[in-house]
Amino acid sequence: MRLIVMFDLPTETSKDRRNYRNFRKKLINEGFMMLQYSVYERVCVNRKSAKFLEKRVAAMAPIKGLIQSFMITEKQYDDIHFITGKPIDDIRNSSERTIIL
Amino acid sequence: MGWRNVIISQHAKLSYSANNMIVQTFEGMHQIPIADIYILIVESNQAVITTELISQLNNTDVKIVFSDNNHEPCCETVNYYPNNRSLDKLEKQYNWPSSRVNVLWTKIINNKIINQINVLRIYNHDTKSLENELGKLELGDTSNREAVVARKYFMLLFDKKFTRRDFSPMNAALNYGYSILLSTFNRSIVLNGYLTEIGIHHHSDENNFNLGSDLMEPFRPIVDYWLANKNFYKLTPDIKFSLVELLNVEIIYNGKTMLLNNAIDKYTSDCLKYLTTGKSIKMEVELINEVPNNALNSNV
Repeated sequence: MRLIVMFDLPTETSKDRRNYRNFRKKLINEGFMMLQYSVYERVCVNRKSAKFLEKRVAAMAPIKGLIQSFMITEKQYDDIHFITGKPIDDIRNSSERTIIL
Repeated sequence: MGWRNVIISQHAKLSYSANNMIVQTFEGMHQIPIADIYILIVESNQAVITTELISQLNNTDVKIVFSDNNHEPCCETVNYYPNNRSLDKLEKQYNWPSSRVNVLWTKIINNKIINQINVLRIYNHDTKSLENELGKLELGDTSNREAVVARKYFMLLFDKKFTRRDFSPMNAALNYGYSILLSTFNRSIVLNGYLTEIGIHHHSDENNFNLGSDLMEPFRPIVDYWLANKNFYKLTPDIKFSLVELLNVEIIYNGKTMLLNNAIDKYTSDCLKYLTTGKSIKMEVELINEVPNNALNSNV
């Protein structure tokens, strides 16, 4: 399973920008990886843990702005078409159970 | 609950940042969320690891296994203070009634021998004599059928001249596989709040992992099964990595198909619950002899 979080956060006031920075930092602390600007994804073992993570993200979300999330299966994620560009080569982007470095 | 086995096999620096393990190698930087890690195996002798990372990994009950110059596992981290350890629990462990200990040990050996027979069947060997021995199993295995069966079993599975005591590559591989298994069992035992030293059958002063050595018995044939049809002259890294990957193989535990590392956790807590509370348990470990349709190890 993959949990994708997309957000648009206001950057009008310095408070807004601070909220945005904090939210982004918390996402990274939760193990999310940036796919594109303001689109983040995280591998989850199963739907249950993805739902759990979604709740955690909801708990740290700022009030203003727009934040959306959805879950897709590994298969669906693998089927993403790259019209321009290449997949990111990062461990957080793979779902390998054994990683050899 | 972690699900990733991480093996460090080259010059690397391991550190901690923002809930991630940072691995710096020649290729560049890798980040792995600590919550995802199940076991970390440092194969390389050219790695540096920070104390912060060690304590953070320990906090989330990740096992760290270090290797010696021969790249054999030689030590591991053990969590001192798991959340659920209490004096009451340790006293109960120290005084596990011998009736329960005997019943569990019999079940474990029974299960081990059944799995050994199954491995032999998979490779089309004659299993009559082992089945005879299984029939002679007594409570607590007082007649030590385990050893008798093991001797016959290895001779059948490999060849007539095979002994477990020499330094052949096959033995090295078996030992490697077993030690990875043992580490995961130790992790599971500590996770449940028990001491690894006090076993039910193994009773050695020098062995800090008596209990792990006891509980892992039915799972050993899984390693044997994987190695039995491999031919190699040297224990090479790819064999080792595959042995670690075995933790993600599917087996059947109590009729349910699950991944080996999940089965180990479930089985360990079942056994420990039985020893402490006496609630009767079912603990059947079975091998699956087929390539699962999701043989991609990356099936999440």
